[in-house]
Amino acid sequence: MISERAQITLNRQIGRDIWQLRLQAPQIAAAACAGQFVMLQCGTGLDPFLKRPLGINQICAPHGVITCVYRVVGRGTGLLSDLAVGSEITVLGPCGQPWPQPKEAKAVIIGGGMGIAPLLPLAEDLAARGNTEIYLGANTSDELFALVDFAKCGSLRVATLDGTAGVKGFVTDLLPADLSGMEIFSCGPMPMMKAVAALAAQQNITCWLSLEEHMGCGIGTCMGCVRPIKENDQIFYKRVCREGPVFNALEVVFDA
Amino acid sequence: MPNLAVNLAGLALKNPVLTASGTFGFGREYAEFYDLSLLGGVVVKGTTLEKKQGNPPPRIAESVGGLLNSVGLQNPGVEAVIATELPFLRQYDTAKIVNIAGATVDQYRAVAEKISASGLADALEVNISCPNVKAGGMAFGTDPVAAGEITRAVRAVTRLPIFLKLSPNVTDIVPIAKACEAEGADGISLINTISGLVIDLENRRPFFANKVAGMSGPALKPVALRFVWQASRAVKIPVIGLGGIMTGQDALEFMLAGATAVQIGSANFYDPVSGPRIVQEMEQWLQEHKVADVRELIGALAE
Repeated sequence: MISERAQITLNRQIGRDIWQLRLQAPQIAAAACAGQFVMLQCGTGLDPFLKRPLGINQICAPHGVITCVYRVVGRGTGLLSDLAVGSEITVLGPCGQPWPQPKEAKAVIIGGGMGIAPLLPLAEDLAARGNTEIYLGANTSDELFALVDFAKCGSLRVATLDGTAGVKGFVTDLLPADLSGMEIFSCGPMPMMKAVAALAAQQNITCWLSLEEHMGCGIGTCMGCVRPIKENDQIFYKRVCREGPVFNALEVVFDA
Repeated sequence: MPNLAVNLAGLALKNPVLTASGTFGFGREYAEFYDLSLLGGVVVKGTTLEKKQGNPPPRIAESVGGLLNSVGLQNPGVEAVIATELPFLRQYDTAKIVNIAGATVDQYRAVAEKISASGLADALEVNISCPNVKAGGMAFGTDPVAAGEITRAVRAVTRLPIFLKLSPNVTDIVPIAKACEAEGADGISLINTISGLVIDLENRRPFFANKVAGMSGPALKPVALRFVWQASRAVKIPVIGLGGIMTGQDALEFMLAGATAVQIGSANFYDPVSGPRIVQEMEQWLQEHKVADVRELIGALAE
């Protein structure tokens, strides 16, 4: 784990309340794996006090660069969007467990809303291997991003609730009826991941979910980001920042 | 080079900077960022007799100049702490202080006995001020009689130095500090978090399941300084000061107010290398102000 002063090289709006942030953070870029996240300082002083967790959307180790995509939802992300190119912020990372390597021949990537962001490095890692199906969904076309990058990594299908891009409906409507021989990697809103987990359980296939939670420290000491996780028929509070954010779908408790 | 070493109730600290319980786990995570031997000591997560699940999420909310937490002492229990956590700290040349908590006097006594017998701790910090648990915790730390009773019980089962960690959620800290001293405490740590309420306006209800949570961070510093100042003038045993320390200058202010050592809490969340940075900043300030020994500042507030 690294704490690094990183220079902002790009911070621009790319959709409805959606921003792309590029950071010169060579040590973190060198260490980061697909599925991990960073903790970002959103101001330049003591306010806001806590860093914000953002999934890593692109890792370019040779150039020492990482890219994150974030939605402006509150004060912290609002202040982050105000930061100019050239500003320096403190970044911790890479945090959390990466996506595991798929064991099945076919990988199925299912992303919804901002959950699309941490799936791109996985899609890129799997591109050389081939045989990846990618399904992305959002409320509307203005909330979709990185489609060109995903399209390079496998077969891509898109759904929006309002029909402004791809098929009108939920991303789960796009999935093939028979998922046998596939392994799912998914990130998105909890209702979407719950539906994905249910499909995977029905068809008895492996499914990995990346969870989101408010965080204090991002490194495992504050115990603030826990979620109930099943283990040997018992439920424990596990840290999304340390044991997660990626969990086996069978372990995730949705109705806690 | 100015001297930073202090003697905390017989415990030789290379510098006055300790970490605050509940912000530092058992040290493993921060050891990825720096050598823990740079610290005067490490105070580990509150340890209870049995494994504790803690409170349901959400557990963290940001506030201006800090945060509130409602963790509720989640920890693996004293046996697991002895078996898997404390041995990790052995490799570091730093004081190992185990924070202990319980719901009853017997539980405090049992945890203190087990930690002492393990030989893995240099001191105990007795948490009688956690605002986030239903039984015990703060109930003991807000009543001089109960505080004295816990102190006596723990004193009877350990030869390790014991520091009672006190709550700021009281009208007068003096009788509580004096009760701990009278029953054999080697020192007191203060302040723990201040009780606060966060409101979820949209849903018109408290943000935390437990309703009230514990506030920490730099917003608390003047309150914490006042408590340290009042308590240190009332007792002869050393005081460990904490509450919103972000810089070396903050730490020195606590020492002037009467603290022999300080603890770094929420600052660890703001900057994971806060501990060693604060040590360095203290040293630099002393050097710039031609103070040869940090001990000169302890309780030296001009009045």
